Amino acid sequence: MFKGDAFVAGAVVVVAVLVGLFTFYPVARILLSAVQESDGALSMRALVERLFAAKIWRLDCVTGGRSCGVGWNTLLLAVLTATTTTTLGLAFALVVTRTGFKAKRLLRVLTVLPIITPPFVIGLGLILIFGRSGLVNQLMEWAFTVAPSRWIYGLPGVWLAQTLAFTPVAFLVLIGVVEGVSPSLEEASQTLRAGRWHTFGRVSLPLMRPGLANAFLVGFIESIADFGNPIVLGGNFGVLSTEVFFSIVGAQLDQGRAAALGVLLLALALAAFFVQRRVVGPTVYTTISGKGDSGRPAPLPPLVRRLAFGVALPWATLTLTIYAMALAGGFVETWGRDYRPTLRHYAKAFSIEWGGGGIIWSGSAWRSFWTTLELASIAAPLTAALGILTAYLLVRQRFVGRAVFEFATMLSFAIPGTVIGVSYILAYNVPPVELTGTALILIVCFVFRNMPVGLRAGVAAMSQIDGSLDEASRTLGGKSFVTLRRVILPLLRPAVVAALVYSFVRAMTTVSAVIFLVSADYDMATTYIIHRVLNGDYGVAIAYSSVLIVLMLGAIGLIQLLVGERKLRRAATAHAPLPTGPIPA
Amino acid sequence: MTERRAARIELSRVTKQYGPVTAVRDVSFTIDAGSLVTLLGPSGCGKTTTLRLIAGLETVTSGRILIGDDDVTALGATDRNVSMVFQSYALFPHMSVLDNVAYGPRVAGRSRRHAAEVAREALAGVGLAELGDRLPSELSGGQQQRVAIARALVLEPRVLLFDEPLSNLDARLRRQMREEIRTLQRRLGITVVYVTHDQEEALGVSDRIIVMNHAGVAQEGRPRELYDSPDDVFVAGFMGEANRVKGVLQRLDDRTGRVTIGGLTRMLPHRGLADGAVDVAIRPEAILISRGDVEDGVLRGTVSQAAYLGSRMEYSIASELGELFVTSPAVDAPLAPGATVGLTLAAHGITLIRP
Repeated sequence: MFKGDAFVAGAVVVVAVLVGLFTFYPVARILLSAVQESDGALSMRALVERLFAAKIWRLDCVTGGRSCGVGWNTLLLAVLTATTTTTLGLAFALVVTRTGFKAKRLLRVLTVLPIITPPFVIGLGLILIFGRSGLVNQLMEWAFTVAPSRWIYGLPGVWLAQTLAFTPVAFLVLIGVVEGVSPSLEEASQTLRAGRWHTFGRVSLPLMRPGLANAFLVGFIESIADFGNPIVLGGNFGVLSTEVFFSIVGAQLDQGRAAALGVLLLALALAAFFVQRRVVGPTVYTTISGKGDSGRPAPLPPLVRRLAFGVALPWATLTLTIYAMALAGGFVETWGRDYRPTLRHYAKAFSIEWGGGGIIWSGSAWRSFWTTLELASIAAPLTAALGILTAYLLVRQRFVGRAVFEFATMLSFAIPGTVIGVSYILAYNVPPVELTGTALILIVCFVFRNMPVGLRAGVAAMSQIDGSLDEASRTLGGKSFVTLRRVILPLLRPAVVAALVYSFVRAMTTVSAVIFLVSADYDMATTYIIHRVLNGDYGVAIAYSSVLIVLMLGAIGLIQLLVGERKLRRAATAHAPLPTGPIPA
Repeated sequence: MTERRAARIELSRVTKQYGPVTAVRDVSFTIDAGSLVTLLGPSGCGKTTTLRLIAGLETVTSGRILIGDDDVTALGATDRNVSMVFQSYALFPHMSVLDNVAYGPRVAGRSRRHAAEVAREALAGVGLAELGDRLPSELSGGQQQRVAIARALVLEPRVLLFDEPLSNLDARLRRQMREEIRTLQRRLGITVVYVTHDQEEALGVSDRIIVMNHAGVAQEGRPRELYDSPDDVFVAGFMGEANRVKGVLQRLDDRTGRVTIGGLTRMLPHRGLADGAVDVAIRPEAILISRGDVEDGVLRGTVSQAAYLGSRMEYSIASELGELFVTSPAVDAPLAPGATVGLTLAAHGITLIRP
């Protein structure tokens, strides 16, 4: 059924085995652990007890008294975050596409930030502004002698941080949705004498509804999977992802509980994922057809326009302020008490000395920095290769079990990092595959966490490449591997670069999964920073984060430069529709 | 150049299914070596799937395909010695024109120099020797088409397949390319299978035409046969316009019969149909219009619509046979709607069809 093509058959088997071994086997292990008593005996009671433990589902916060269970916390936070990110994302998307707003490029830049930002940087920035010794509290104390408040530690803070962090994601989803509403439908509505308000409310908005639902679910999934912000800002407000962490690294050291919480988190994520697939899947209402759809989008009704601007602009300002604070925080003595400028934190983290044998990397951060750089550099090409190869198999080949294969790879997108972290510990701490404490487990984790990014880039790009190019190659005698190497890969160069950049950057900035997997020998930049934050050592944490962000920007720029913008563009335009005009005389 | 052996193609009871959908159902035909045969039909009739089955881009669900004397049913496209010119041309956008044409020889393991040499030769064969360094996107549609043909020919295939090759060209260029393809095919003497949905194109280019409909072969024959004696309503309507009217057949001998259509009578081949009511297809140019007083033995009609199309007039004429579609070369004396006319039948362009 592989049309006798050894390469395709081999590739399918290799990818299937790898995904099975490094995604599904660990998940199976975590499911198993969740039903095991501490002595190893299987017991459904253990699972039920763990899943419905009062600590997860108690409702004390409603009746007054103590805090609610982490299950409710997680759900509440996710719903709140998804609501605000969707609203803000829509406001941004409307401002960018439907108004004459000038600084559109700036807003686009904002969308890159969450990709290159370690997930806790927003939390750090918020602490610097709203924390106990943050700017706002100090101002209030100085002006009105109001006692400093701790409101930022807990639900409000985490919600704010997640909203800041994930609004760009919602924006990216929604800008496609808003642009996908065909202007001709709006024009049709207007020619039928509907006013702007009517057109927006009765035509545009309903057409966007599936997209809005999708953005909401994306926000929901991001929120429950988020680890960096809750751990920095959560305080007593625990959510599933942090609870999993504390039950495995804290004093509790209860693997069964960690596994059960992980299973619960996984169930929530998968449920949201399936709902999302249903929403996005079959009902394609958006009006993207092959035909050119000219016409101008209808201008927004004045009220909606003012609302969109009123929401989007202050928010953009807040985001930029937080980044500015986060960067500035590394250059002062002690935030909140002593604002004298200093390079002390940078020196502590990144000092270099000249010793007898040459350079001594004496800063405290160098070790984790080099480890991170090295592992990310190893993981990035592997991730890109696996992602693109999988995309090729999914888009271009038909084979038995393709649907299952696709489903499995899609499913692995939805597994939260914390769950992967725990499941890797459970799965690879013991034979047959014993990996914990090695660099390999980190690389494997990067590759299989980030492969979906390469896969998506590959699928998107490959769907743009006309299948007749492959067929032309085949009729000219090119076997699958030759076709892939000589025809598809050169055309996919932009996607390959994107996959390389993303997987490198994400390997540098991820926290949730690797925090379980780092060891004394292999500490990562992000986990090092997290531990500095948890120790209250903000100066070094901020300095280190700033270095990472600058490094990411540099890496993205460098790769763009190396690959060559010109060649990218040439290949990108080359598969535009072929000109059909007559031969010029 | 080495000797080019044109090959015959034989499909025997070929069926292709995609899940519950049957794209090609039990199709059999033979294409002679060195001939140009078109697969003609409306979209979705299975013609492109049939072509792709011959190319080896799809695998048959059942049946056999022979190219020359070889059974290629189980072979993939890579191993069939068949080349194809795609509807979109499928030129590799990241390679120069020369590299595109040299792709086949390169993949087959020839040296870079040798591949470039044969590629240059092939490009010269289609009149594009100077454009080897350009990118495909820098060429016009007709030039891209020629590059695609050169790329397909460079491997000296036994069979060359064209999938709607002219659909991306404008009308004027279409005729020119059609003639070039025909000339090339005659010069090289190769077997060509050509898919199109345009009956004029098919009539103009083919040795034989295979008309397909509903995943099967509707009729097969020389262009003239198909136009003059379509087997059924579908072929009659697809090979040009046709009026379908009722008539009464009376068989005279084993070939011909007398057919009465309205008040008109004709001798026609009875095509094995039984006496009694029959369907008759009449080409719009086979209805002759006479103006003024209507004599006996002539059908009476009233012009209901008239359109001027440059080289001819098109009329809708109400008659006792129903609304008739008639064309007339008499553009200098057009009839106005409402005019009363007499209608007679020409010698050709009338045939009995199977219901």
